[in-house]
Amino acid sequence: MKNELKIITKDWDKLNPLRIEDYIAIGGYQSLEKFISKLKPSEIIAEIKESQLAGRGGAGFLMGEKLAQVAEEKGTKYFICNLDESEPGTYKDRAIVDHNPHLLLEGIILCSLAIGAEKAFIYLNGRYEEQREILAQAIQQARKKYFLGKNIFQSDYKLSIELFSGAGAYICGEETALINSLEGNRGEPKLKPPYPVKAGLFGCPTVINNAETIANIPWIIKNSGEKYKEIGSISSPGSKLFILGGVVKNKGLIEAQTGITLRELIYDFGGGLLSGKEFWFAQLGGSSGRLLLEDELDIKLDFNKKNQYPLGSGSVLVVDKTVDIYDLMLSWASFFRRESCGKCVPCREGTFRLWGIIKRLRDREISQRDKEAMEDILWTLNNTTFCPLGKFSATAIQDAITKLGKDIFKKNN
Amino acid sequence: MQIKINNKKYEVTEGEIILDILNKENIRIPTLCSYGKLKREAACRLCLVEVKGSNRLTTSCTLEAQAGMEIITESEKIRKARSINLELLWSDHAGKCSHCKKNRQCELQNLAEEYKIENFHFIPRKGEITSQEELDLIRDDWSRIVVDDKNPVIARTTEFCIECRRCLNICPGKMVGFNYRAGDVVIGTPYEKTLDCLFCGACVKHCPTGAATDKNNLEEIQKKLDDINILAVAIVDPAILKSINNEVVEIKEEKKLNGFLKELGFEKIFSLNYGMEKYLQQITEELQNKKDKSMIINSSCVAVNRLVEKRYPELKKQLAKVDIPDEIMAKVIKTDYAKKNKINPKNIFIVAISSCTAKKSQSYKNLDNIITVRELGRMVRERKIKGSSVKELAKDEIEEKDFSSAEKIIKTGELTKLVLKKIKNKKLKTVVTDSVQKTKEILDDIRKRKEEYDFIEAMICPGGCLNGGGQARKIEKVKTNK
Amino acid sequence: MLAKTVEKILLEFNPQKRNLLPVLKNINSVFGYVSAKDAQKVADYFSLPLALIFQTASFYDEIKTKKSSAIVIQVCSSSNCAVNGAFNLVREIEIFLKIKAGDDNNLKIKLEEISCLGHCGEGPIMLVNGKKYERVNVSELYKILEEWLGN
Repeated sequence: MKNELKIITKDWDKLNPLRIEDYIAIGGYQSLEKFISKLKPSEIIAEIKESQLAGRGGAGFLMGEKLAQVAEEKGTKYFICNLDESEPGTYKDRAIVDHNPHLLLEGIILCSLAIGAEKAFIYLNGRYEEQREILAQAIQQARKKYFLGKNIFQSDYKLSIELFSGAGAYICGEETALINSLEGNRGEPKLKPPYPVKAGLFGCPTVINNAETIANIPWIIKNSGEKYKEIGSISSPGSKLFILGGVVKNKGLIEAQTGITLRELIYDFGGGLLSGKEFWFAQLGGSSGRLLLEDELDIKLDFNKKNQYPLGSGSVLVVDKTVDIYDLMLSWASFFRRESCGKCVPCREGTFRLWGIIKRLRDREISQRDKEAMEDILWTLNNTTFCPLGKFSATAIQDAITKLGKDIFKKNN
Repeated sequence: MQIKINNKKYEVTEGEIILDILNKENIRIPTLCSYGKLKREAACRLCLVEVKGSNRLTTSCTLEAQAGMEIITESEKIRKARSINLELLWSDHAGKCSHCKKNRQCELQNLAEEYKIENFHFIPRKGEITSQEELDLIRDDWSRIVVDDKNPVIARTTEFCIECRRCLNICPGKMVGFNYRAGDVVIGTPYEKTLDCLFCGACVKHCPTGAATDKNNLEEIQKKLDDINILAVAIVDPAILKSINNEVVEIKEEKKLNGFLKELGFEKIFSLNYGMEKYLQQITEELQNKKDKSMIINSSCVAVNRLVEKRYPELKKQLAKVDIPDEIMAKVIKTDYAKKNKINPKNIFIVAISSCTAKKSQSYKNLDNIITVRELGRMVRERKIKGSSVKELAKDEIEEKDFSSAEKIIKTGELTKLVLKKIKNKKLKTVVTDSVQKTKEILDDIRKRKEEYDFIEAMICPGGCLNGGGQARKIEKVKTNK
Repeated sequence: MLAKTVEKILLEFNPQKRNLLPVLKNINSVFGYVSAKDAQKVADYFSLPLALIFQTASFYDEIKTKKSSAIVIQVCSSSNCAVNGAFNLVREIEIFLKIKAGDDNNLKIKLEEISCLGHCGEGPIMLVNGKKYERVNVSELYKILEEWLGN
């Protein structure tokens, strides 16, 4: 299939996630060996910089830059793999662990050693208990093979990886909130600056990356950053995992090149819409994602900062015209009404009031007062909140109002 | 280094926080969560400013000055942001002011007036919604309310709470937390337990709204003051003169205060300095007669007494066996003074007007009630006393003698100085401390027998009673042209 | 095996603040919630104020601070489940059992909306006391309710 790619998902059908031998048999841990035997940390970072790999968690910050910044710092440093994954409709990171946990571990080890960290954490979504088990076993196996621990490949490199489970809070996917959570606090975002690369976990320089981003690293080290850069979109090259959901024929996880269009995703990979369904819009990137209409299906999806349709987590929800839009709006509103950390006024009070209005809207036509209130709340969520969650909570509802036609407030009952 | 604020140049230091600069330069900036040196939470999103070169609004409380920075503090966009955020807070509060204790002394109310938040549209009006939805609304609002009316000193209700976190940050005992999440957030004690702390009152003092207030039955007090069969006596803590003006602007000095007290119904007005002098005498005596190895901790700070009782029970017997000055004085009034003036002590009602909240946590044999400066302000407002018609009056005296030198003990350290002056032929090792943190350090050392003292003067409020938890803060109010 | 006590759980961890969340999760999984008494023990062990323990505990969905013997019905209301009729289930349950989502009023049954569990292809997803049901439609809903609540 056009744009199909197997970097992260390579050989998933051949692998038993609980057997390190399977991973080794397909060339696993060769990148780590290559690093230990031939490369300097700075060369690894140069390679990753060359690859132009952007963070797959949503913000799209260049990974090589982060690594380089922390590598320059002195003293204790940490590397954190963000596997909190709580964006609705997203389970790509979980799929990586379910199929190839060692790919992730190898990526973590490479990054940690490159920046000079001797301790790495994997922050798991609290519900990922099975994945925690898989990773715990994988870590044991890697340690036995000297891929982890005190003398990695008989070298002086050392690293330990600790698993840390969250306890149910969407906001902990945000890097500073995640750090707060790891430190035993409420998972509230911290003020930036200082950024984690300067003062992160326990005040030490810290790199935090999404699991999917990290899973690209072994390939890059093995095949070079230059080769990686050739894949997909020019501005943010590489592989991307997508989760197709909604009214498509083939739902589930897809690995594709960046720069793919929604149309290709839905029709080439997803096999088109279920029979009898008429396309209305697609939501890109979970509850905080933007809505794309029919005429926007050919926009190329990547992490380019100028792209007005951010890829986000990579989940795609295809919605047809029979769907009750008010149910969907309530779903978004109720999600953020529960998941706001509650610290700043516009987000705590705004998401709460917005939810109330949308509940009313779902039941019947709302008053002019409610419509104006909605506009004001969306505006303040967009412009005045402490962290990006405020903006996220407004995105989809704002798009529904502006893009789905003026009839959105007109109800027949 | 220079920066521009509203197109005017200002000399500043690099890294200085913009909010501090604005306050220093008297440039109006609204805020609810920041206060003084408290941790900058950036939670209320009102101190937003625009920085040239960025189209984002930034909170001035977290913004550091950099050379060449250009700040705008008022614009259409800024006003819109502040108005919406204020209204979001206000929608929980609207219509409740008249029954709120902080009415006219509330920072949220003042800002709502300044920003003309009248048309609150986040809550639907009656008639716009179905009865079921109305029930939902009531439920949603009330499910977020937690009330603590069981402790003797501080009345807490989240009905008026705006989650600014000042109380969390000021509380020296870390008694309250920011609990739950999102719209369910409650600032309160763990497991909604009744507050049982030192009752220093710092949270009440710093609360911008009516979420934490002084607990009392002011109507009951007022009733006693109005009863012609009862001799109502006010004992005025000299410390309150520092802050009474923040509550009642017309009171600029003691004589005016006395006039207001008379208007409220107090028949006799004494200064607490008499009680302070007696306290000094009694504690000096105790020190003079103490055994060589024993230690004495001053007993005049009730919050210190509580700290010792709760955390250092083994040191309890070291607390001086002397009542607080207010009670010493109340006793004199109900015995000697009553006898001399042929009044039945049962018909005397004594109220201490105090800079302290902790004193309320104890019950006393002679002292009938204690009100803080804030409560005095409330009583004045409720009586709608007009300042211009209030006379300036001299206070009453128990003994024709000047006791004003004893007043110094409202400041940390002065008690020790005065006691040492009185003591003869004895060398004493003393230590002076204030704040919970420092007091604990001293008491910990004593517990571990690292240090031994003859006399320990400890105060919980930093600086002593002068900065007591019952003192009133200046509540800023910006006049707007209607 | 001896019953697991809070003291034993605490001894498995160093009293460093970063172990607070794992400790709270552990206590929650053994006792179903973190009681005031246990939270005090945690506070003492970590030498932290109780208020701090509670504000951290109450932040997270997976840590309960109140004892509840209620049957908990959870319906995923995230977008994939919402477009497949999750809110119809919520409404149906609300009317049938006379409870409201998010309410604490009924001591026997609780209904909660929850966020995505990542089984988006199989929605709507519903959990009863942690047991997962997929592709729940209204007629199945009544079977499930009957299974848990009798007639």
